[in-house]
Amino acid sequence: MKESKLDLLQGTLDVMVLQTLSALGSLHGYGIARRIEQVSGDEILLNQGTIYASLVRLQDRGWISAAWGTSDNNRKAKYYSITRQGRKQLAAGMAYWRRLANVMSRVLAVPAAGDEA
Amino acid sequence: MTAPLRKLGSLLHKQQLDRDLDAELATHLELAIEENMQAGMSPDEARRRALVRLGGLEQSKEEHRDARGWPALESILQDLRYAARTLHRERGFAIFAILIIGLGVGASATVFSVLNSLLVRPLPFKGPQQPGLDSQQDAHRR
Repeated sequence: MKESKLDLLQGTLDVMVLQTLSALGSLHGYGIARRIEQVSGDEILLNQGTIYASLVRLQDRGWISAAWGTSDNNRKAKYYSITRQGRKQLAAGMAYWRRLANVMSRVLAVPAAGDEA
Repeated sequence: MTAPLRKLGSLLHKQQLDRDLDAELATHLELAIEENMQAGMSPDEARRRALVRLGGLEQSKEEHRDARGWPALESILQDLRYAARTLHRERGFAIFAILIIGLGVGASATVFSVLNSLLVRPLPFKGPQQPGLDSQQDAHRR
């Protein structure tokens, strides 16, 4: 189980980033990547670099905003935070993923034809 | 509605955006290396692991560029710039090519305009197949 990490589905990362920013306020790219890795229990296959592409996409759509700031140990870093529009989008994204997860688990719970007999 | 504008802007402010991204990724690596070293890795190992986790520096930049702009439009612009540079470098070839194309276009246009007036458009008379006098003049004569 450990050596085969989950591939991220299309659109999953954007929701994860929004959720992370919504939960923790403003964060830099490295912080977001580490947080997602920790919360997921290192089960997803995440190249941290893809976070930055996701951040650009989210910024383009106006769901997050960015500003240069200084980190705890005095490094220049770009801090991202979620916008009001982003929160709306996150709510929609959450509802979608919950529904999809529900449907998937219901469909997968149907036993195989031979099992019941 | 703002997204296309911002994408267009990203074509114009390419250098600024690239510098921003470079700085951002540099900070990312520094933070990652620091964390790895605190976990007890040697500096070299810490750096190597940080790069692996990032998924490669150049790949990350490439992905970022693809996400922020229009990759198709950018590669067309790149091709056009390359073409302009090549033509500039090989002047003789460029002049020759332009002359050939000019000659071709000119010849085609000439032939077309001749054929157009001879064959395609009828003469601006009634019954151009039967040469004769204009109907008004006809009326005068009668």
